[in-house]
Amino acid sequence: MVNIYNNIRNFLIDENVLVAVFNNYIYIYNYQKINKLNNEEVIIKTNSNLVIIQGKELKLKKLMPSEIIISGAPSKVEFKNE
Amino acid sequence: MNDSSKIKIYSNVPNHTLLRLQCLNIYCWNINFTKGGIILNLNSKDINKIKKYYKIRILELNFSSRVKLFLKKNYINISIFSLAFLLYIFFSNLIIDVKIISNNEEIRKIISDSLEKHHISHLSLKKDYEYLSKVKEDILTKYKDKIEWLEIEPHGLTYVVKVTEKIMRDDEESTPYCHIIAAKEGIITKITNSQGEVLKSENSHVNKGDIIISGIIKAGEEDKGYTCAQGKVYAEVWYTVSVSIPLYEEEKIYTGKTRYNLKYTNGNTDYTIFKSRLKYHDDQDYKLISLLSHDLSLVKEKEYIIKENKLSEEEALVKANLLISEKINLKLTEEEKILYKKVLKKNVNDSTIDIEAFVVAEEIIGEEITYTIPLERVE
Repeated sequence: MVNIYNNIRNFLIDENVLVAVFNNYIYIYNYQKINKLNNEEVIIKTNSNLVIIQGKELKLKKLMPSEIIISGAPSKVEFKNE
Repeated sequence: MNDSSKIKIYSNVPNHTLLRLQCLNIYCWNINFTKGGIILNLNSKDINKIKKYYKIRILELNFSSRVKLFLKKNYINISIFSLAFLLYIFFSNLIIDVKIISNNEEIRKIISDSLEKHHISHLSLKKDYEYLSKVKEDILTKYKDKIEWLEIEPHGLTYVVKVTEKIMRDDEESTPYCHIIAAKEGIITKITNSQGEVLKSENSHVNKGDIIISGIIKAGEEDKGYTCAQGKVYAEVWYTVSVSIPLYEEEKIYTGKTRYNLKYTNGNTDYTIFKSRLKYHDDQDYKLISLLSHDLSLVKEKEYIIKENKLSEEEALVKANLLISEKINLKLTEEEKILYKKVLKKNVNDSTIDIEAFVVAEEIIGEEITYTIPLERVE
């Protein structure tokens, strides 16, 4: 029952966070806020945790209400509970 | 993203700027870091929000934003142009005068009232061709016994109404019974008649009112027929004419000196702007500006002097002779002529010469007069 409830809730509210890491950019869906932004480190807050991206030449390419794209050479992506 | 624009934000800390944009709920895409700032695409409506915090340069604008920007920059010129255009349209469709061309005051009043009822009057708007045709038809139908023809023509800001009055033939005037009588005293020189009985012969003297050609055809003492006598009666008539000729004559001589002046005309009143320095001058106008009934004209003033010449007695007599002929000729038609002239009395004064002359002219003296048939003769 709990599983069905969670599925319906996810379908209606669409609160799942998606982080897609590619060779030269990272796509994040359903983020809440960018906490930190510089060339070496980007910290992004989602509804459940923090996404910490480290790398070189990190740059924001797209900033939209629910999605962002960060280009550069990511070396590490870490998920951390708040 | 139809309403997107491309801008450059000048900033030394681009990452900080992007975080600031996030706080301001401004979203962007195609972000590129360049020297001295960042180039990005965003919604056009967000540009004003950014302007409060950063210096920006607009690189590309969408069509609607470009139109808005153009209107904002040129609104004074656009307003003036629009107003001028509207005024032009308004004035080119305005009637400032309605001229009715007719000698008959009653007809003019009828037309004027009818046009006013159809909203064609001073300071009203111009009407189209169909409407004018309908108005013409209405007036012609309503006053068919008074107006023969009517035309309304637009001439600039005025309407010119041309009217032809209907002339009703009065039956009373065309009575068929008439005599030809002498309109004045004289000696008959010639009679040409086509109808009626000639009662006087050539070289006979007639007094004013004598019947020359009778409309009653008689056989003995009995009336045999009644008609309208027709014919022409020429007779010698006499005049005594007095004229006075001045012995001094003024001659206008142009000096060749000209001056220019300005003249303002308001309706029928003229105002000369500068005082003229010439004592006597003839003016020639060149219209510079003409707006409604206000005109500004350049006036060319040509100076002249008046020279006084004294006439000799012979010259004065020649002039008097001409003047007498003119005076008599004014009364004569093409078929009539002066036969003889003689000076009766001549009086030379200081400044004038008075002449009295006797003139004999051949004139048509026949005048039509109607008569009624005696009651016992009416069948």
